[in-house]
Amino acid sequence: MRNRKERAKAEIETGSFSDISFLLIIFFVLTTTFEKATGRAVDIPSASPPDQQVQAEEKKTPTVNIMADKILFGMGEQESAGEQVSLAELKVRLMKLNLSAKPEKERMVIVEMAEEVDWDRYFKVVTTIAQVGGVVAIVEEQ
Amino acid sequence: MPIRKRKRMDLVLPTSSMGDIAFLLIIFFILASNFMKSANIEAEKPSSQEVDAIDDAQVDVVIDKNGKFYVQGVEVDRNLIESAVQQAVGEHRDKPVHLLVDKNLQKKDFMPAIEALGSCGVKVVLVGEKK
Repeated sequence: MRNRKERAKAEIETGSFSDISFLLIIFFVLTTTFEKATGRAVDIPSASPPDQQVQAEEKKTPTVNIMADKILFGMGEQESAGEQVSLAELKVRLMKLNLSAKPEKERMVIVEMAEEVDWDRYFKVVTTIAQVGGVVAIVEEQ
Repeated sequence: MPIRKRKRMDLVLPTSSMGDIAFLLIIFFILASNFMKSANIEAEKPSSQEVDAIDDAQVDVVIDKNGKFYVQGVEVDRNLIESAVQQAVGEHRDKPVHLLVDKNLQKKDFMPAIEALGSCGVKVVLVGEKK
């Protein structure tokens, strides 16, 4: 007489898989933060020949001089480096010039900066100029 | 006459396909997501009050905290930024190029990128935080 052993039924329970995957989806949806990039578009003209820069300076173009500890603002006067201003004051001065209403050539703001100026400082000044409609022209020391 | 009990119908909600649907949703979201190309580059964002929400970038240019240049997440030599950007922009010149520079870098580190982007004649957007 043969006594056959009953085979155990091998089965993987898959009923809870959907619960697990939906829980995963809900977890990721709730924990994800969608980062919207912030910034400011700036007009950067290509390097202009030196004689054009001189002409621009003669026409009393607004000039911003960024230094490590201060910002100087002037209207391109040869005799003075400019007046010390804060970022808020710089914005007010530039707004008074009504740059956004002018043609592109007259919207130029000359930016000079010292070697030790970091990007954060430069960024603050340039975004302020761009916000009031100015075109940033960078002066390279020869 | 004996009263017959009605046979109850077995109410079974088929849930075996729910797992498939959930996985299909996961796959869809993975494929539809736009992952940042420069996510692994270490660059601290500068801050300004004059920034707003900006459109997605056509080309990403990043200068990391060590002064290394990356175009579309690939490191490039500082002398080759202009050609790398030109190549990445292609014919879509109206789309913006996002420039992210580590906030602590100095003039000598970021000026080559500004000059190169100026020469490319592309629309440049400086990336930073609102503060």
